[in-house]
Amino acid sequence: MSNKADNPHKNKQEEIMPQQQKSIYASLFSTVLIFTIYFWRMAEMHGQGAFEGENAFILIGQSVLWLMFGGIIINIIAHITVNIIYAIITKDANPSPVVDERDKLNELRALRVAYYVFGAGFVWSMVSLAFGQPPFMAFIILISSCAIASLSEGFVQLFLYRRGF
Amino acid sequence: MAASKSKSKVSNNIRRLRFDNDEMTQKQLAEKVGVTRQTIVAIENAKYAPSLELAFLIATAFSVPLQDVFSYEGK
Repeated sequence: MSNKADNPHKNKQEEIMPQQQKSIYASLFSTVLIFTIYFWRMAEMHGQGAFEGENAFILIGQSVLWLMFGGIIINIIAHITVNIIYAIITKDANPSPVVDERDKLNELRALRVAYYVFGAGFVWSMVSLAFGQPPFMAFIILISSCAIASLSEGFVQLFLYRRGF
Repeated sequence: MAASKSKSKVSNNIRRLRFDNDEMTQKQLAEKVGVTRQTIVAIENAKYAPSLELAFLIATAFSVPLQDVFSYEGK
């Protein structure tokens, strides 16, 4: 068999990263950014004693809403930025938007891992409550497990792509 | 649509069929059947067993029956 048929062409068009992988990098970047900002802000507020009064649960609720809102905004900006940077680097203004059945399958596998991680975090937060830790601690464990689950999802997807599955 | 942990029991002749079809590239085949080139690579290396629909699409792209493209190596 010829080398041409065995090996993929090495032109620019074939080396382009699939849309799904770009999305994963953008999601990982936005997850790290939003949770870094969130935990930095929470540590600051905790240092000021904001979670010790009667308004502790109100503040926690508000912070989670800001996390969700900020997460959506940063995620959108990250996706647009990654696409623009990639288009500039590859000089390809119209990258292929194909997301196929294998992408969806890998997405589901990664989601399952994220589900297990978050489930473990939820159990851990309940155990911390059962052992007399303050509710603030349980919320922090919940949010942390959410962050770790989100990162795990991205890394598992990347792992599956890198291994060729 | 299931893929085993390492190698799938579904083997294929895609590489040979590409060669026979005017040295069609993986990218060209991917565009013909509407998937990414990485999926074609995974199928060729038997790391991913495609859905029945994708299997038929690949066979149609080569204008051959399904059994000429894929075969099952299990019991």
